[in-house]
Parts: sequence; structure tokens; C-alpha cells
Amino acid sequence: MKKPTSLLRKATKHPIAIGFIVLCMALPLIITRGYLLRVFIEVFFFAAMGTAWNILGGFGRQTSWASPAFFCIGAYTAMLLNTNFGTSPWVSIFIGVAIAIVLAIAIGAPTLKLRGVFFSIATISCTSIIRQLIFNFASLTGGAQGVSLKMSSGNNFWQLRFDSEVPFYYIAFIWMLIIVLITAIISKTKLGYYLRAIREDEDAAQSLGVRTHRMKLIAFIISAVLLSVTGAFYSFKIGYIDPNSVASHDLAIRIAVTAILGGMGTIWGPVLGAFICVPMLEVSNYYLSNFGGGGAGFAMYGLAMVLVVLFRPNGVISLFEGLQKRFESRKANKQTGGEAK
Amino acid sequence: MKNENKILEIKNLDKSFGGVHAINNLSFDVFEGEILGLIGPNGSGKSTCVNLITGVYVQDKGDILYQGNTLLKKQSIADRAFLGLGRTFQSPRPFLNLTVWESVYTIAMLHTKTMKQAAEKADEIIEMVGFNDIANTLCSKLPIEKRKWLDMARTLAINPKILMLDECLAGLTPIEMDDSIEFVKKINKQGVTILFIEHVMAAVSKLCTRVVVLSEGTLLSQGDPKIVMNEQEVIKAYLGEDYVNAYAEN
Repeated sequence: MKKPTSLLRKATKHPIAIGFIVLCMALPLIITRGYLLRVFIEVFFFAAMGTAWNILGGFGRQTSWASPAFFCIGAYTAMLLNTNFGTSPWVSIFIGVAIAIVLAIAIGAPTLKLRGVFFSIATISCTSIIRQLIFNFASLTGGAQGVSLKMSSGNNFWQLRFDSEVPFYYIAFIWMLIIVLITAIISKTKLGYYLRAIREDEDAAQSLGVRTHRMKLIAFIISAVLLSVTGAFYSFKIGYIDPNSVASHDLAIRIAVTAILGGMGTIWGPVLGAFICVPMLEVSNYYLSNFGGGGAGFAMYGLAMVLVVLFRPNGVISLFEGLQKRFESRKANKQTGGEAK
Repeated sequence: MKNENKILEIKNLDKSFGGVHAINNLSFDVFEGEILGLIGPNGSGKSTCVNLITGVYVQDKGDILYQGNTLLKKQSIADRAFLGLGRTFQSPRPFLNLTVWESVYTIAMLHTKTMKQAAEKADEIIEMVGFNDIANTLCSKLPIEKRKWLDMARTLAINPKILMLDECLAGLTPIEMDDSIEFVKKINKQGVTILFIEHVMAAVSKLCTRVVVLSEGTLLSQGDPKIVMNEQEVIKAYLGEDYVNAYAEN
């Protein structure tokens, strides 16, 4: 009897989050246009990636540009196993995760010894290396031509092939929620606290006993695993991947900007960031496609970034946090008022 | 009532940075329970000495013995914190975007088993330091004196056996200084050995039971603060040749 009420009470503490989830769950019932659903799916995937990046990038403030490396490991593993052996993505996800863990340790163990900007620069090269490897091992990876799924019709959950956008809408949404939940849990655990201490002052944290390198590495691995799984889902949604789309710096920047714009080190920040960034790119691609050879969308990214850094360094989410606080204080006032009567 | 157990033994320590010989064949002991002042002019190697003990730097030669065991080169800064070697920095290093309580809680977590114990420990330390009313304040809002205290409060969470305070009085007003001296005494009474690095001589003579004087990386003198500070060599190192006679006449 106790549990449901406490759950309910917990839920009412986050009215915005609950409202958002309910709205998203109901959305496919209202929206029937495939294009809009595709935009939402893209939003959820970027929210998922931004949130995964946020674990190390936001909580630990270690700016990694290696996210596409893990994303494309997941994507390529799932696609290649499926096109060559017909392996279900539900199986190859785990193989991708295993490879991502090994790669994360190989990349993270040496680079995370570096501080700040030097770590960032080192991670830039990782994405480049992976992209070059994909180009060079063309017989295995398809090289610059990429990999595409065979055409099929009918719904097959095991093979993740659907005729409509709706199933992928829910897969992307639920996966995003899972990552958000994982982040929320991490932020309450020891790891979350240690990462924050590292963010604030790595030297001081170390002198007080925080094993900074190990903590950063753990966060890096968790982030890599989540990105790899996202890559697998994403590639099956799109049905086609090539090195320039999944192992590019553009993607690294889009992932990081999603989190930075929304709010680094917050739980819902990257989700909000994705809701701003993805539609912004879509709109500018539509209306501004004649300017700057199609690069106008990324110029918008830059502009949004500059504005946020100047006026809202804690991200757009800081606007909403004020709202939430006001809501809570008003509720607290009401409660105390009620008791007084 | 001095305890004669050596908690820290510095033996023939040597450290160079390029052409600068920062620590030159330095040896001294720290006894359990004492407040040892580590003094010397700027650049005499005091901070380097602390950095060597805590593992920030690795010595070129010599040994550091802690509770009778040699500190190994592979023992990292964090490892040494777990052994009970606590330190603060010359300028405070607060976790700016965490609250006072969270800062202590984060560190307490490392050194207790459960998060509940950590919370209890954090409460205890906050209570002891007298931070009750600012427990939920962000560290970035604290004035310099409180930041220095917070640094010390945080180190208390690692259950230090020896606490190295690097110029914890610099930049404070005389009243704040007196409060801080009382605070250091309070920590010492709990059985924590203090290695007190300081420029403010009045505070050193008030607080320390013994001093070690460094000059250009070597040991110049050690012993009772009042006696040591009147030695000609020490005055010369601190104030220069000309002052030796002027000071001696007084």
C-alpha cells in the first residue's frame, strides 16, 4: 500500500518531467505526418547522445570529441553483422558494447591523464583515426560507400524493420528515457559526486583521495557504452551509414553542443538542447539552404552557442530551473498555509 | 607531554627542477601530535617539501618515511590521502559550485563505507567547524577566511593523521587570524599532527611547539620557536645581512 503513494508523491515532485513524458508518449496519436515524427526521432537520438556525453562532459567537465568513435562502433557492428550474417541488432548491440568498452579503455586510459584542453585535442584525433580505418578497410566496412540495409517490407521487431515511423519513435524515446534515468542515478551515486569534485578542482579532489583518473575512465566507459547502443539503433532507423555521417567531427560537435546548449551537468539539459538544436537545423536547412552552400544550419549552431555562452552559461535549462523552484516554493507555501488553518 | 613517536621522517631529500635545486639534502622529523612550523623565506622549498610528501612531485633522491614505512614512488596522491596525509593549498581550492555540506560529504564518501555514514560524518565535521548556518551555501559565495576553513574541514573528512597547512593565515585580518589559530589548535587537540607552513611569525610563535627553518632547500635550524628565531643565521636568511646586528642589539 505504501509504495504506490510514495511513487506518486515522487512523481508530483517533477511535474514538468512527467508532463513531458506523457506528452511525448501521446504524440504519435496526434501527429501522423512522417516527416514530423522523423524529426522527433532525431531529437530523441540526439538527446540520448547528448545525455551520454554529459556524464563525463557535463558532470566531470571533460570535453570529449571522441563520441562519434563509439557511436560508429555501435552502428557499424550492428549493420555489418546484420548485412553479412543476418544477426539481429538486439544481439549485435552487445557485441558493439563489448568493442566500445575495449576501445574506451584504449582511448581513455592514456588521454584521460591529460588535463582540460589537452584531453579535448587528443580525443579529436580518435574520431579521425576511426574514420580513416573505416575508409582503409573498405573490403570489410564498405569504405566511403558505406553500408546499407537490404530493402524489406513488413514489421519485424527482432530485426528492427518497420513500415511506419511509430515503432522507432517509441524505441528512440524509451532509449532516451533509459539514458536519462541512468544519468539521474549516476548523479546521486558516489561516482556523480566524485565527478563533480573533479569538475570543480581536479588537484584538490586528488589531494583528498579522489582517484581522478579511474573515475574519469569509468564515466568515459559508461558514456561510450551508451553511445554505442545509440549508434546501433540509429543506424537501423536510417538504414544507411557511411563514415562521413557517423564518424565525423560534425557529429562530435552536434553531440557536445546539444548538451552544452541545454545545460551541462544537468539531467534534462541535453534533452532540452536536442529539442532546440535538431529543429533549428531542420528549419535552417529548409529556409536557408540557398545560403552558404548549405552550411547555414551549422552557422546557426555557432550563433546559438555564442548566445548561450554569453547570456546563459549554465544552459537554457537554467531558465526552467527557476520556474521549477518557484513552483515548489508556491506549493510549500500552500502546504504550510493549509496546516495553519 | 610530547609524544616522541616519529610520524614522518624526511631523510636526505633532494629535488631539482631543471637548474633549480629546490630541495637539497633535507632531513627532519615530525613527531606525533605536535604542531611543527615549517618556515623559511620565499623560495626556500617549503611548498616543494609538502608537494614531495603528498606525492605531487617525486623526489630525485632520499626517502620519506610515514609511520615507519617508506612512501613509495608508485603511491599516488590519492593513495597517500587514504593513508592519512592531508594538505591544504596556498590559495584555497573550494569546489565552487557545490555547497559547503556537499563538499565535505563528497570527500567523506571516499573514506566511509556507506553514503549514510558519509552524511553523518559530514554533519559531524560541519558541526565541529561551526559551519551549521552556511552548510547549504554555495562555496563560491564564501569569503576568503571561510574558504580556508572549508579546505581544512574537507581534509578532516579524510581522517588525517597529519595535516599540512600551506600558508593558511596569509591574507587574513588579525581577528580572522586569531580565530584560525584557535581552529588549528582545536584540530590538533583531536590528535592530528600539524605541519604548519607560515610566513606570519607571530602566529608561528603562538602556535608551534617546534619549528624547522629552511633556506635554499636546506635545513638551517630547528627547535623551540623563540630560540630559533633569534639565531643569527635565521635572521640573515630572512631579513638579509644588514639586519643581523640591528636585531641582535635588541
